[in-house]
Amino acid sequence: MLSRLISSIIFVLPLVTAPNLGATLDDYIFPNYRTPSYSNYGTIGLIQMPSARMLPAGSIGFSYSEMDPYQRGSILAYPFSWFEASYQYTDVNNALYSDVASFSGNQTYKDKSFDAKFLLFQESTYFPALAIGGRDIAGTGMFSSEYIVASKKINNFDFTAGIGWGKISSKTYKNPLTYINDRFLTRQKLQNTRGGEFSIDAFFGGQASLFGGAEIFLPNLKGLRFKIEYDSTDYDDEGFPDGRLSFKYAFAPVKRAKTKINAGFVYPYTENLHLKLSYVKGNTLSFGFSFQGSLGKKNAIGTIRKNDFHKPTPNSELIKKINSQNNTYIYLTALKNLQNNRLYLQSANIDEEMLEVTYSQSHHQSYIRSAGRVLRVLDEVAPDKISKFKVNNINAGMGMHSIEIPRKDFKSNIDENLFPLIERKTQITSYQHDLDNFEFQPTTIYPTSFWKIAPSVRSQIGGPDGFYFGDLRLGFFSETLFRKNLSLITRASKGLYNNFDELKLASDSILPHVRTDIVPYLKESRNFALTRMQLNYFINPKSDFYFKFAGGILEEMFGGIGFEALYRPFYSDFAIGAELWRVQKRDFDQRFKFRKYKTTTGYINLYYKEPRSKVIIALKGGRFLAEDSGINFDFSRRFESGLRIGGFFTITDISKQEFGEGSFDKGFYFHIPIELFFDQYSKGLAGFGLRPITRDGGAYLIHSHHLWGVTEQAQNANLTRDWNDIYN
Amino acid sequence: MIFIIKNSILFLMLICLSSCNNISYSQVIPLVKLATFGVEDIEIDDDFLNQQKFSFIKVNVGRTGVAILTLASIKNGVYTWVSASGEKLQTYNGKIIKSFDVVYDTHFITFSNFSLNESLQTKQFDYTVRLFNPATIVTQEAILKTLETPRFGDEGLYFEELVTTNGFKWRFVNKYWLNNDGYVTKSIQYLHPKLPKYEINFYYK
Repeated sequence: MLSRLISSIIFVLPLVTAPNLGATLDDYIFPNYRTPSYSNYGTIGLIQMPSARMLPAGSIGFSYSEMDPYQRGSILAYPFSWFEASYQYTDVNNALYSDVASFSGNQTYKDKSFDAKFLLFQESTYFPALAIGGRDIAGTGMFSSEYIVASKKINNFDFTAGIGWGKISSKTYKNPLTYINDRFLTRQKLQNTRGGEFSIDAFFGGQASLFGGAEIFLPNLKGLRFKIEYDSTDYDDEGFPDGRLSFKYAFAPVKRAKTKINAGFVYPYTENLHLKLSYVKGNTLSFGFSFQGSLGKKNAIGTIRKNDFHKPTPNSELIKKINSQNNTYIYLTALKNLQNNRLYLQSANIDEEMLEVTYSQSHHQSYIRSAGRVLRVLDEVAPDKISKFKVNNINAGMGMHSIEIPRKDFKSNIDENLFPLIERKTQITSYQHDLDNFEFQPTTIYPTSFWKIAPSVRSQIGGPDGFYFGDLRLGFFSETLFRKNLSLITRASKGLYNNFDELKLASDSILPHVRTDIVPYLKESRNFALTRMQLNYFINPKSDFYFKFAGGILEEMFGGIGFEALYRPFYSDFAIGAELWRVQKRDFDQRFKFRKYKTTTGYINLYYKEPRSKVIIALKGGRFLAEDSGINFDFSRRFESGLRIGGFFTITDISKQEFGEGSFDKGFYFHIPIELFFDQYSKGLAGFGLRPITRDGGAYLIHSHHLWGVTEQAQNANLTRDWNDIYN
Repeated sequence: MIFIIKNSILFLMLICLSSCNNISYSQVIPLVKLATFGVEDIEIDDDFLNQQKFSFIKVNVGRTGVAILTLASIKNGVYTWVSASGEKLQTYNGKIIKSFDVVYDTHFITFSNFSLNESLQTKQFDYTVRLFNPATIVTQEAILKTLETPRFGDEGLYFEELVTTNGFKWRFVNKYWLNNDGYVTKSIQYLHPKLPKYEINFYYK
C-alpha cells in the first residue's frame, strides 16, 4: 500500500515541480528555499538521514521532534560555515530512568549526545557538497553513527546520498575502509567508561550501508517541501529495540521498520521557523519544528534598523565661537554634549592645538563607534584653533586605549563615510590613566549607585527528576562605586514561582561537593538568594598590566577573597594572567552563612586570539575548586555582530571513576548580543551555556568582572575590527 | 517605518528565558506589545492636519508599521513622499511605483499609462516590476475596473485592480478610492510578496 502511494507520489511530483526559471525568481517560486531543513535527529538533513547541507557561520538553531519512542530537542551551532556542532537531548519513552521508583518515579530514560559535521567540499556546478560527520560521538553510544554524505541541488530537487556506519548502517556492505586498515572490520565498543567520552576506536568501524533521498521544493506552495529517503538506520540496534532484553529498565520494544522508505513534508512558516511532518518506518508518524537564526553579521536581523544616532550639538557654530574665549567652556560643553550621547567625560586637557579627553561608556559594543561619537562631539564644540583630538578610554578606572586623530581628516571624511581613509591618519595606542595629568575633571560624589530590577530565570534541565525545573524570580542588580576603580557588585533575587518540589537527586560524588549540591542550593534559596556581593578594586600600575583584588560573596556557591592579574600587550594576540583565591563554600540558603569546606584555588590563564579565524583559545591551568589539578580548554569564535560561540572541556588529575558520569567536564555556550533585536545599541549579551552533567571535577570559581572581559578594549585588534563604525 | 518579523520576537523570547537580567525591559515591552497588538495607529485629527505645511500620506504596512511621509516633490506626475527616517515612496496617480529603503523594495519599470478616472470602466495594464531582496524582474497583468458603489466616504469613485504576476503565484487586488476632484484619497496596495498590504491615506494641501 505504502509503496504504491510512494510510487504515485514520485510519478506525480514532476508534474507539480518546475524547472529552474532563474536564480532570483526561485526565491519567490520557492520561498525560503535557501535555508536547509532539519532531520528528526535534530541536525540538518533529510528525515532520519543526514545531508551535506550546512547553515551559514554564526547560525544558532533549535529543533524539536517527536517520533515514537523518542522525543528529541537539539541545539545547533555553526562556529564556521564548514562545522556544525550540536547537542541532543533525547527522551527515550520505552525505558525508565532507573528501576528505583523512589529515585526517578515514572521518569523515562534520558540520553544526551554531541554530534559534529564537517563540510569537506562546497557544492559546485558539477560536483556535490561533501560532508563527513558523526552522531552521538561523545555520549553513551546509543545513537552513535558516522557518515560521509553528498548533496547536490538540481533545479528544485536537492539530492542526497551517503554511506553510514554504526546505528545508521543496516550492515549491508563490507566496510570499504577495511581496504585501508583491518581496524575497520569490526566496531569497537568503549570499555570502562562513564559515558561522555569520544569512542574514537569505534569510528567508521563495522559494516556499512548506503542511504539517500531528496528534498523537493514544491513551486508556489509557500515554500512547502517534500522529503523522501531511503533510511539505512538499523532499528534492531538503535536505542533499546527489544525492551527489557536490551536494557534492564526498558519496558517496551521499539516498532521495527516495515519499510526503509520514509516520506514527509517541511513547511517553512518563515525563513527560520520550519514545521515538519513525516511518516517513518512504514508505521510511525513523526512531527516537529525547528527554529534558527544566522546571527553572525552586524545587521543579522535586517528588518530591525538602528534608530540610535549621534545627537548633534545644538548651535554648534555659536558654541565654537564662544568656546574660543575660554578653555573651561570647551570642557563644560564637551561634558554636557557627550553626556547627551551616553558618553561620560572623566577628564580633559586643552592646549593650543590639541583637545584631549578621557571618557567611559557602557552603551556601545563597538569601541570605535563610541570613540567616533566622542570625536564628533569634540568637533562640534572645539574652536577652530584646535587641530588635533586625543580620545582616551577608561574602564573600571583603568586606562584602555588612546586614539589620536587630526581634526581636519576626521571631519573631511564624515559626509562620505570614508572610514578607510581616516584609519591611516589615526594613531591607536595603549593608555595608562593618571588623573593628575589632567587639568579638567568633573566632580563626582561618591558613593554612587546604579541599579535595576528585572525578572530572572534559573533553569535546571535534563536531570533524572524531570526534564525541566525552573524558578522565575525578581532580580535586583546593583553596582555601587566608591571610587572609579572600587566597586561593589550585588546580585540578589526573590523567588516568584518554581517547580523545585520534585527535585530530589542528591549528590553521589566522591569528590568535595563543590557543584553537585546544586539541588539543595536551588531548593533552599527559593524564597530569597544573594547570588553575589563582590567588592572589586582595579589598578593598572603600568601600561598593559592589570590587577583586580576582590572579596565577598563571589558566586552562588562560594565566597572568599583573592586577586587576578593580567598582562595584555596592546598589539599582541597573546595575553597571560594569573589568579589566586581563598574561598569557602556558602550555605545552601545563599545568604551570609558558610559551610565547612574551604580551599585555595588558582590558575594561570593563557589567551590567544587567532587573528584570521577570530578564534580565541583560553587555557586555564591550575588547582580547581575540588582540589583537583589540571587544565581547562576553552575555544570560542567571535563574530562581527558580537555573537560568540564556544565550547570547553577540562582535564584534571582525577580518574573517570572519581569524576563520575560524563567522565570529564565539558560543555558549550553562546553569547548573543542583545542589540541585534532592538533599534538601540547595547553592550548587553544574552548568555546561554550548557553542561550535559553537573559534576565536581574541573569546577572553577565564577567571579564577576574577569579581567579578560574588563580589558577587552585594551587590545588593538578589538578596536580595529570595528573600524567601519567610526562614523556610524 | 518599522518592520518587525516574528523571527526576531521568537528568538528574543528564547533569550529572555535564558538570561533575562541582561535585557532592558524598557525595550522589550514595546517590542512584545508591537508583536502582539500591532503598532499604535497615528490619528489624523484637525490639529495634526493644521500642523502639516505640505501634503502628506499616512502609510500602514500590515499591523506593525505606520509612518507619515511628506510630499517632497512632483515631477512628471510622480509624487515623491519621504518619511522622517528616510524611507521614500513614489506614487503615480495614486499607485505606488517605487519604494526606497523599505526592507523589501519594489520599482515599477513600466507604469506610465496607469490612471484612474470617471470614464474608466475596465482597463488592462501590463507592468514590468523589479523586486528587491531578493532581486528579480517580473511582469504583471492587471485589470482595473470601477465599481459603482463607493465604499469609502460618501462621495467619489472606487476602483479595484486585479493583478496577476507571471513567473510565480502572486495574485492580489489593489483598491483605490478617488474623490470628486480626481485625487486618490485612500488606497490599499500590495507591493512585495514578502510584505503585507500597504494602506495609504492621502492628505492634500
